[in-house]
Amino acid sequence: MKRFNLKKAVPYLFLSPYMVFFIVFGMVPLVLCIVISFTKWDYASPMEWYGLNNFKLLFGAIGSGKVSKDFWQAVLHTLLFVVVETPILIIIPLLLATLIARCKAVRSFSMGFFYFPTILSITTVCILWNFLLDTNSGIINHLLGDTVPWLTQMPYAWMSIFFMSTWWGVGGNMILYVAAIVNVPQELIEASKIDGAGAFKRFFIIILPSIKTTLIYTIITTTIGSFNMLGQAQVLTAGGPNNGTRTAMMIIYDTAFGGSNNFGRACAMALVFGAIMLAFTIASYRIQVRNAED
Amino acid sequence: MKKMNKILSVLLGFTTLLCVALVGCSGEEEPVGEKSSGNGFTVIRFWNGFTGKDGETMDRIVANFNEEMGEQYNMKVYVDKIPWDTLFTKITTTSSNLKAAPHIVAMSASRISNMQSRGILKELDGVEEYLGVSAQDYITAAWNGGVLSNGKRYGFPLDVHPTAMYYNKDLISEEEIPATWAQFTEICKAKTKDGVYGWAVPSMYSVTKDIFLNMLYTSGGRVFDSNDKAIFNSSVAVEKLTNIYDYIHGETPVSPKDVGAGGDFTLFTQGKSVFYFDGPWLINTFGLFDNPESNIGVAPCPDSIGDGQTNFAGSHQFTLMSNTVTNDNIKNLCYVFMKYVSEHSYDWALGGQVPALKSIHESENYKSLAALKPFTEMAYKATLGEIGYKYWYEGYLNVGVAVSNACSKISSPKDALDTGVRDFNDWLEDELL
Amino acid sequence: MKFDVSKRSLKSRWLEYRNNHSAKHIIVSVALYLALFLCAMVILLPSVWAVMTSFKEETAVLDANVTLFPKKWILDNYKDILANHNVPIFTWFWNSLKIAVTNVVLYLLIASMAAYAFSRLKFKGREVLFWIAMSSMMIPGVINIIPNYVIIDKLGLVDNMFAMVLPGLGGIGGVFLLRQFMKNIPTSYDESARIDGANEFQIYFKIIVPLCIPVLVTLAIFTFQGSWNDYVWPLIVTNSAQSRTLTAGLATFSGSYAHQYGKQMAGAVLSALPILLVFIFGQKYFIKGISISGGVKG
Repeated sequence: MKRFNLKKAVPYLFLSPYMVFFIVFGMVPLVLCIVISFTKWDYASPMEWYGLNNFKLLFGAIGSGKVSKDFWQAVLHTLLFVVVETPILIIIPLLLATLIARCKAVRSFSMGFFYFPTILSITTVCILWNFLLDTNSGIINHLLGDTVPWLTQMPYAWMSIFFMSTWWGVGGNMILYVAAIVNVPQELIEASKIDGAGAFKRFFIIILPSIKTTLIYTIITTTIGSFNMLGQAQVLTAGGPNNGTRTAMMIIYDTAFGGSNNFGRACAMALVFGAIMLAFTIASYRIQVRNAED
Repeated sequence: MKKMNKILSVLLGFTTLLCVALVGCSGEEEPVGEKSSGNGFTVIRFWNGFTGKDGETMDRIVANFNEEMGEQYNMKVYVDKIPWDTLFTKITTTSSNLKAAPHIVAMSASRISNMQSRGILKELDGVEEYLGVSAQDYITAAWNGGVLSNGKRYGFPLDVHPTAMYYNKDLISEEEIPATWAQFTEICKAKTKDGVYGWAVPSMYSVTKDIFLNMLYTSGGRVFDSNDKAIFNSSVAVEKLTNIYDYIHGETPVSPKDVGAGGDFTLFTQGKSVFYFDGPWLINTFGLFDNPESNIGVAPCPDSIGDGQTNFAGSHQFTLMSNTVTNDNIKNLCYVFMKYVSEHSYDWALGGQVPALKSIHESENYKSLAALKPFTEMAYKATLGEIGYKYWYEGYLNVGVAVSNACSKISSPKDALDTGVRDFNDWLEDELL
Repeated sequence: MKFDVSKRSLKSRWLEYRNNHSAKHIIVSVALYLALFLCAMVILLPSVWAVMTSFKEETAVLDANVTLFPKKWILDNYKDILANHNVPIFTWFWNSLKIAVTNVVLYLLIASMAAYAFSRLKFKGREVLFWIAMSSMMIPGVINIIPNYVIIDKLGLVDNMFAMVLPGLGGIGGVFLLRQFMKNIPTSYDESARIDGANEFQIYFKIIVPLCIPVLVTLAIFTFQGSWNDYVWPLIVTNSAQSRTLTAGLATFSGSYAHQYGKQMAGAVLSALPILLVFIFGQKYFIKGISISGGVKG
């Protein structure tokens, strides 16, 4: 009897250290965020019950509609970034990883090169690209012999953000794919070679299914990571031109920590945005994973 | 069975260890300063966002204060410097933790009214009597910058930082330096040739908005009227923004298009633009104190120092936090420190700022800092804008977007300013709900 | 001798390859590797430029005649940062290292245990618990700054290095990554070990963990890097320069180097160097992954 109970407790024992930290630093802030979203609070003044007003404001039911307009515009910008950047950060690293993973000599030195940008902090990356992309004295325009307004006009500002984010982010997913591909059993690959499968066929029939779980991981985390894009827009374009690259995270950050410290509204924004992120992530997970499974 | 118990004990032990680590560490290290308060002297925490040369200078002034005055007043000042945006976040996060929260914070005068309206700041009552200082001792803009519309003082002046005009001596002679914007436009047009521009006007959120406000205040315009109504789309504002717009997009442009953040600096350094506008801290970047023979000179902004003229500047002020400065003893110690810094702000000038205390400007040492002279002249004629208004800072940000939109040719100067005012009013409506 | 053998085998391999593949196939392969090379160049050039800038004089950085490599190599940018007596760079470096290593060790242990439970043990509420934890990823981290500070403050950890370690241990990202990898390991492994009388802890530690080394190394790199590069949170929970991390500390001097690209890049290279070393060191273990999983699955 006693033994039976102990065995049942084992999984929870494995989980308990993590759960302690998850509850303290994950759940408690989430519950607080939900509570605060129903208040008007700037930390300093006493908390004021505000009912559903923060949410009404976001959906344009009350007020001038400015907050609502800014928020949804920023959400659209974020969605644009997610829709464009997520596939890029999945496909390019996957191709690179497939090309380099099986060849030890290429792999050992090229992984370092591809990974180097990823280790730089976003501030450094933005300083670097701000200099390289400058309209009149930047090196990129110098090489192109043109004055392309990379950071000050649409659609170039978005192109710059996409390009820089790709440059910065390729390495992370790539090493995950390499880690997964090197773990694909050699016999499977040899067997398919004997069966006469070409490289492309092998990629789709052997490699992709074998790294499916890693793919799911990268799809979900890259989607969420793209939703959380903040530094690029904040430092590289400062949300400009004309607030055209202002993302949802940026507006949440500004609302919480900008001039007026409207923390209740920022929490409401975070919850609404979180719900959108959740819906989108589940949808993209379903589409991409189901497709892969079929 | 035995094995199971063993694993269990290992896991439980590990979890316990973590919990012990969590709780146990708390006693390990006391925050700096708290330890010493037991020895009988008062700890004053001073926070600022001076992360440049000015920060190093401020550290030195504080160290000198602790050495010279610490014993006499039985106090010690601990300084901490953090980038501005994080600093304001940190003030709010620590507001409940009185062991860590600051007593004195140096901040831009433009943030004072907002912070005060939320009850964060303590009134500096009796500071003039206690320190024996009065209005004529300080530059007017800085002195008034600490007083809000309710007539009470919340900021004690540290410095003024106007935006002045740096120029490349290789491209322009001393006689040609413009004193008015009209002359500036003419000389820029004359100098713009062979890949050299008069002034590379940054179109992203940048110094351009400060230049616009300079022009606006000189011509009698304002951002907010006396009833706190946003009026930065007045006809004079449109006229001034149109002038800037014409520098880039006019018939004879004097600036390249689409200059980004930092692009103006690069072009100026490369000798491709005659003028460059920035604050006094750039003196150190250009090394002008050490090298007066440099090919870079600095002059006041056009139309900023003559009779009836004014210019738009910023000012750093000392403020006291209401949650930590809870009794007169602490308050007076803070006053003593503020006065010491202000009296020793010759060092502060070396960090690239114009001290607010006028007597500093009289010393021979200060006068020998030639590069600071134009900034000092401007400081005496400066205005800080309508900073007594709680939402000034938001208004200022909207001015920035409008100026940027006009410079990037996203909309005409008039449309940009009209939209800016409308956006601000809409934002305010939502804020006041 | 050895060289000779490999040379011959290379040649014979090529002939074999040539016989087994169509010309089209070879052209496509060459094109792919060419694309890879181009991709590498595009990624490499800005990185090289960043590193080279740190060895250039400021005037050379801004010179209109751009060169990739410095005409005159200087170390002044590094010397200036290291010699600035206001910058206790070695204290910061040591703090960063302590914090990052503690973070990596604790998180790898905690996350791999949780992932083991989520992927290979059966218990009530497993999926529900996991997806609740996953949904916490949907809340933007900036919102957590205030509550987390209050918690750290209540635990009395302000200015303590654990303030910069503990909040990260509740992250689900690493658990998710490890769970995905562990799911891939055939259950036959556990079954045979169980038959041999191993308990769960032994299976976890002796079988699953070694098989996960490549992904554990990857997670270690990510965790190290995340801890090393974070600067807002360390600034929030420390009140003295002495307890700051390198990245946070350098941020308090960022203004000194405004417009000075050489010094900024020198600072960036200095703070990136430890991560690069961790990466290069960790990379070895990717190869290990192959040899371990080489003989199984079937």
